[in-house]
Amino acid sequence: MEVSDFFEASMNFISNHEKRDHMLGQVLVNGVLQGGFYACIGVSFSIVFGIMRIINLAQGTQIILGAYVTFTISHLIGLDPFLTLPISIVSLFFLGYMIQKYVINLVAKGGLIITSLLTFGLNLVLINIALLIWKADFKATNPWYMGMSFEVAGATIPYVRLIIFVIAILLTVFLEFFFRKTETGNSIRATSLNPKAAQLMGIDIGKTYSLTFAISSALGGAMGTLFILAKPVSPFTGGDFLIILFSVAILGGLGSIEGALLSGIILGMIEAFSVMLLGIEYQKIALNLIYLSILIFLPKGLMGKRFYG
Amino acid sequence: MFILEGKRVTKNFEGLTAVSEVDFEIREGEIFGLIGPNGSGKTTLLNLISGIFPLTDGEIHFLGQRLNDLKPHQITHLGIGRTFQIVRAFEGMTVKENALVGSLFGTKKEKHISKAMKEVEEVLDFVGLGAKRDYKISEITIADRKRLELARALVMNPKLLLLDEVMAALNPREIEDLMEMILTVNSKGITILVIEHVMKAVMGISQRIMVLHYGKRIALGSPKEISENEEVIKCYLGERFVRKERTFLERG
Amino acid sequence: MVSWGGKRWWWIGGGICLFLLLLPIILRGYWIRLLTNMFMFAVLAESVNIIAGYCGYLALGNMFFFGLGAYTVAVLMTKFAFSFFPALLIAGLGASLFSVIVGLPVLRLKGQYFLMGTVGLLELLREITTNLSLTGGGQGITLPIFPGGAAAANYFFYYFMFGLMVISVACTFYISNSYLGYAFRAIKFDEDAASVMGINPAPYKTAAWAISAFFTSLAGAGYAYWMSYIDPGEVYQIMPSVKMYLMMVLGGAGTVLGPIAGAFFIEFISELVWSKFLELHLLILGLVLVFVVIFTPRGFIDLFQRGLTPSKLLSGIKASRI
Repeated sequence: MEVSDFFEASMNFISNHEKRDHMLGQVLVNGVLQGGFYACIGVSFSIVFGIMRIINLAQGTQIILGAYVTFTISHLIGLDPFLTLPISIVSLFFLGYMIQKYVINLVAKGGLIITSLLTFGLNLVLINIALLIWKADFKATNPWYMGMSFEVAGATIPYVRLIIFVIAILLTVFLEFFFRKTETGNSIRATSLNPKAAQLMGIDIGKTYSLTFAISSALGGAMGTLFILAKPVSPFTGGDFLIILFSVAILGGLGSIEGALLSGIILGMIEAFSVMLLGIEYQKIALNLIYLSILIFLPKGLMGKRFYG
Repeated sequence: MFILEGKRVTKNFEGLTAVSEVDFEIREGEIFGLIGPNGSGKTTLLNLISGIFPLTDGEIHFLGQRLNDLKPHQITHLGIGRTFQIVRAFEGMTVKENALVGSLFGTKKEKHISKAMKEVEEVLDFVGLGAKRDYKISEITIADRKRLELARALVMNPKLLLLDEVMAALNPREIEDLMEMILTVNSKGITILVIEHVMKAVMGISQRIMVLHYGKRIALGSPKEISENEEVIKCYLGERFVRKERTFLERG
Repeated sequence: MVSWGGKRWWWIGGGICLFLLLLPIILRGYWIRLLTNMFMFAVLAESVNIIAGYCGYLALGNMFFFGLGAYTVAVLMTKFAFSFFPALLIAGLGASLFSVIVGLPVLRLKGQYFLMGTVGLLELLREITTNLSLTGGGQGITLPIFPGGAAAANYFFYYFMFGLMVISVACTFYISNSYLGYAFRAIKFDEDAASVMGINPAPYKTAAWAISAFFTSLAGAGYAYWMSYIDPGEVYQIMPSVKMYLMMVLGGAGTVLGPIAGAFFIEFISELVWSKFLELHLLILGLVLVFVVIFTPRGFIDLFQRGLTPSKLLSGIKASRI
């Protein structure tokens, strides 16, 4: 598709009122539903980035692992994928805790390139493990309610997408509650603001970090479960999430959960609109350009604030 | 002739006013002291002068040149050198390499490493680090680090030298050495602005002293005037100190 | 920081160079190609060393200059009938120019954000290239075959990459001993303190990235002509980008020859793993990454200097562990 085609398409679109209004509603709905998912995976990345200043390049693959857990169990026991949520959450929590405690904590203070290379290395290991166990072809779950949807004001809402959205939002809100109202959550926040002071107050930084990473991993796992309800996965699918994770984390402001929530939805909507205007082939380019614009123009995020600071 | 002038210098940080409407003039060739309790805005003022923070309001002029919109390296090239309160040495380099950076890129922009190195070694000898010039930063004491900060600033041949608590964490002997160094530097015509908490030192070497409190200037005058200023005493010095220091000053 | 100075090293280095220059005479094609690959990665690792090892700006996505160089040459030679060397020159200078322009907004980003920005650029360029008909889209481009047959090609590219490697090392050596090197390192250690010392960071950072871009793109250009076929997924890949960093870190970031040594070592292992344990190559590479980063964050030269006892190995961890 050439650049001139894009102009033509958008001109056509803008001038065709009826079609536009109908599509606008649908696009909005798609955007918001997708945005909820983006928000939640963004939160999982943002927590680690904000609290430990670590760029977890393995986050995408952790999400996919959650999807694989769901796939395996639902195929093995015939359990409905939604019901595998607790299992993927717990297993990824455990995995994340172990990884942080025994590997990442060894170099957590080592600086940006060290931690980034480390998470990338972990990413490779996880991908290879997935390759060995589940092979390279795409795996999917096909729940009986897959294609079902309902209509609201001319827009089609697939049930699956709606439930994914609701669960994602619930998890995000729950996490926000956890960080603000519980003692553990508060000690995690304290650690991120001032590790030395936190240590002096008796907080065990190592454990805090392990817990944080475990939560991020568990959240990712949950989102993987939800993801495979809608789309198939392969060991390499994790890489597709990277730009979205970056975007939501930065736009939302380092470690800010409500920020990530808002940005996720905004991102979802922007993506939906650009797909509508430009066509699906340009989706990735659009996402990348949006991401770079965020990075350059809004590095402090929408709120312009630092994490709880 | 005023080498540095500040008019209504103000700095706000998202709701916190660190420096508020401070006026000051520093005469060429003098040693000017800057004192005040912690958090009174002294280091912020220094950061405003050296261009690390932009001013929220007011103006600063150096030899007639407006500093407000200049970047730190430009201000350095005009002839202002400074040390940092928390020593910011380049960790991966040796002592002499650290000083070399100042010499290569400071005022004179001497690009020949070997020529610059000679000057660097002289300055290092002057501050007493000659023997340790090949040591890594991690291997020297805190007193040495302070001296390195001073050396790095000196090597740039500044006309105005800003010293930020160079004497903190030093023992009395080291403080005396440093005081002597500062006086020697000053005798060569370099104007010096000293931030200090070590009262004996700053009272002893400064011609005039400015006192900041919560970002505002509350006094400016000779050490004697400052020690007699009631507000200063109330906020900062404490009665007993003043009685002690008056006798010290009167003895000269 | 390690110093590789001394006359002794000059002789050894010269000897090694001579040896490598004469080697193709006795080697089979496979080994010549293997070495060519190693030279190429050596160039990439050294390039990354200039912007990241010396200057401290971790451009994890630096690979996109490779892709730029590859595609510039590919497009110029196929669509505009350029011959190789002019196309090469344009690729190199074009990439540097691109880095200067892109660097204007991007080099202002600090730390994590800069790293993430370069990754974004890598992804963006790949996606754009995949969708552009000029570059052949997802199908890639086929370049004219090197004239003279396979053997001649082997020799040509061997010496091309070797020459590139030598030049990049020479360049790094010059930088490290000049005032440029001091500026870069000061910026890396403390950019604000550096600016107070009179260093205007912007032109220096830009220069570092431009130099890095130049060599990286030349390597990409050579690669394109060598392979005769490139596609976006291959030359705009994050994997080689990370490998460059691994090589740099393993060999010693901020040293002149460290990245070269790291490149040879890692590429050798890579080749071994690829041929014998294909299924596990991601795993092994990942583990190597993890181990290198935990045990030799300052490079294995530093490790040798400190002594190879287990306690010394662990003491390295102690500094960065929680």
